[in-house]
Amino acid sequence: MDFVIEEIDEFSGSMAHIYTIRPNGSDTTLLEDFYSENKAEHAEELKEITNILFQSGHRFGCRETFFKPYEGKPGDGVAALRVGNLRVYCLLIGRIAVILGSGGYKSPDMRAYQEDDSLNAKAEQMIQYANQINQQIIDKDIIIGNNGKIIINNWDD
Amino acid sequence: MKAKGTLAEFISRIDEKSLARTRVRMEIAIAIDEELRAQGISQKQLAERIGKSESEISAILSGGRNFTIDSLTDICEELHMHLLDVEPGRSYFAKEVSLNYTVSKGKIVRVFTMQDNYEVNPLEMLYRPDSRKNRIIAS
Repeated sequence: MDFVIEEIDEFSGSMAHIYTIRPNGSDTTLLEDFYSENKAEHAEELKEITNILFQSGHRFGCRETFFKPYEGKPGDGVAALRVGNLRVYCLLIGRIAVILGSGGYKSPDMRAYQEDDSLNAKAEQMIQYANQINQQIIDKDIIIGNNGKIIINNWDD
Repeated sequence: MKAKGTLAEFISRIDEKSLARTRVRMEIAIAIDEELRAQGISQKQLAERIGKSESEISAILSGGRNFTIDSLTDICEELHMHLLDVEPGRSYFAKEVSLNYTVSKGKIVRVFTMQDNYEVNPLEMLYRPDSRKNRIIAS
């Protein structure tokens, strides 16, 4: 695989485990890149996203009302955490875990992310990662514990 | 893994006040979402019933929007919820004021029982104050 799944310790708690993706060869994770890219213009939204992720991990779990589902292909679990017009795409695993990718600003006059090349690229990236992760879960190379902890059984390079 | 870079900056700046605001919004969103599911109402249907767009309802239920009390009231009315009851069953106006009328020597004597923060109508100051605490007896 060309990426690793990394847990974000500060967000994970008793109600859910919060993860992100680090592409092989990259010093930064997708979520770190998302924050860096949007810090200048969307600091307030990022602050709220930070709070939501913290509360999801420690108090509420990853409920669908917070992570809008059906953002990818049918059944792939790709969802979007959105605050205002900022969204970050992710793979939702029930209420017990979420794997966060990247995202961006969705203009109010945009009906779908496909209308924006940059946003579309981020969404498609998450869909591709979700496909690989879902296949690994089916093959039992990734096991999701009852508490949402991800266990890597066999990782093909 | 500990967060790094800009992500770590934002995590380090999490403050109790903003976290509390987020918590309340998320709690309300959960309550509304669960009520919608219990009543078999979609977000779209709720939006139509209260005159909002589906995206507005979705934003409210995302936990990230600071919606107005009026919006919340409309939702509660539609779903028959009581999220806004400050303390169910408690009246903030009665303040345990009792108004008793008795008759003495052919005159009506009106007795007020005052509680803390109860403001007596200035017209009622015509009545002679009683030495007993918090009682005014008309004469």
